Amino acid sequence: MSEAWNWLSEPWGQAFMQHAFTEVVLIGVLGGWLGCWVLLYGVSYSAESLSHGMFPGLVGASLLGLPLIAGGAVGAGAAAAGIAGLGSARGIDRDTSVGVVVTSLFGLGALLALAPDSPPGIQELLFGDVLAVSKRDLLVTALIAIPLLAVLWTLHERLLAVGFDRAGARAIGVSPRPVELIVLLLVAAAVVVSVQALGSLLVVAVLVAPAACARLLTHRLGSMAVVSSVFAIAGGIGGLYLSYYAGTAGGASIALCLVGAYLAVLAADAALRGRAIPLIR
Amino acid sequence: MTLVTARDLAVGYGGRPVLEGLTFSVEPGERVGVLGPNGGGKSTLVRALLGELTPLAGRLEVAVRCSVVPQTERSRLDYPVTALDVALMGSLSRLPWWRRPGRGERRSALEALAAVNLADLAATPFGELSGGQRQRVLVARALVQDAGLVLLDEPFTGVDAASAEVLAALIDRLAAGGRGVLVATHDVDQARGFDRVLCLNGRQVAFGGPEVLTRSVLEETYGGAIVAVPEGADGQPARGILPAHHHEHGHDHE
Repeated sequence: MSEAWNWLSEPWGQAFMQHAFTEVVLIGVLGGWLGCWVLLYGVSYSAESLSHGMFPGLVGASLLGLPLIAGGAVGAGAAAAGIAGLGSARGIDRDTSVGVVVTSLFGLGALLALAPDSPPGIQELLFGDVLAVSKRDLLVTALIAIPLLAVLWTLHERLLAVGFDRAGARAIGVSPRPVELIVLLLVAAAVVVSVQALGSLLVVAVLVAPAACARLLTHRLGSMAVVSSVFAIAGGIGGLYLSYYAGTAGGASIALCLVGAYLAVLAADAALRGRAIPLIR
Repeated sequence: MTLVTARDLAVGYGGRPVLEGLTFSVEPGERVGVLGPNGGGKSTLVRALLGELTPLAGRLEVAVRCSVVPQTERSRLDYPVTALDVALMGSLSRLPWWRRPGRGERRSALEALAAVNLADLAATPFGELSGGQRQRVLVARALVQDAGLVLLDEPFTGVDAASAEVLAALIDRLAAGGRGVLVATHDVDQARGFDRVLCLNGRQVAFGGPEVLTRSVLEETYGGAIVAVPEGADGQPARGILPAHHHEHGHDHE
């Protein structure tokens, strides 16, 4: 018993693990809750594109010695502007413009990062380094995450109404366009804030996997958001244990735990319902 | 007070009229049946009444707030909302964007669900309700909106007989409360039971009491493609039958 307790409590004795713990809780609440809307508004691809498209911004920040969050924000803004600009060109549909812009930007980032005189540490940008989160990073995360959560809380019913019936939303006094724009801005901000911990490649895991889990288990948005956040936090903590004891990379371990949890819930849901192919409610 | 006044109204999309020559009015307490083929302009009329389309010609005055009961096939059945959540959406139009519905709004949403006999299903997921029950939840949402004019878009499509009866009684009650009720429908028999009928086919074919529903008006409304019109007991045509190849045009929704 006490051995198990030691095993469980040992990692949290160290400051860097405490910081990592706080970071995954903050990101878990935000990512889990916002992920519900990412899923219901069908913007997973946009979230992934933003996180990949900001890569050159991250590399630039790292080369110039600026905070990653600043580079991520600039990079995400450039990616969004590029997608919007190319998307308005004739004969190019939205998916194509996203694909072109994101692969170009990601290539540019890789080119910069792999240049001979670039400092090492590219893995950190691609996969994050949750174990290197400082007290100041935590403060920045909290200062960004709390207003985002406040927006999610305030607009809850309006987000619900637009997702429920976009065409009919105006008739009940909610304009769909601003609401959809807010969802994308929230996603961009959440991606920027999570990139330190999870990196450009893995950040979308916290936005999609916990919400997908919660969707299988609940049929009300309020409970879905709670379950999703709990899953995201649990996945984050599980990933930290994995990273601590197996010596694996923090961000990748967290992403693995999140996706693993989703697959486990999916399988359990399918088994309980006696279906071969699980249906998403 | 007249709720809706249309004079020589033309509405459409991108400068091209979809519906022309509308001259009709709706008074408080009136039930108006709106007949027409798919693509005949019923949904366009609804959007014009909501103020989403500006008139291309003529005049349209809507003196009261409108609420819409849309077709339930349009809403997502896998969406994580309960009947109460949907009814509660009706309160959003009266709240500034930073205010969430509170206790008072919840109470009126529950009362509205009780008014459509669904109080005991308030916590049931919307997608698990029957078609008729979903339609009643949407009527409850319109009640919460407390609008002077309620527009129902083919509320009886895909609804079982028992629910249809409840819905018909609800429409009567909405009107009895002094509201104007516009019901888009394919059921000519039902439209005969309303106070007024408005026949549309790209333009206004007829407007008036149910007696305007003559065979020639119906044929004009449905494009002369009625192949079988069984005679009713009074010698009047009893039912309009839609040509199967008429499709809804893509511009009806955004």
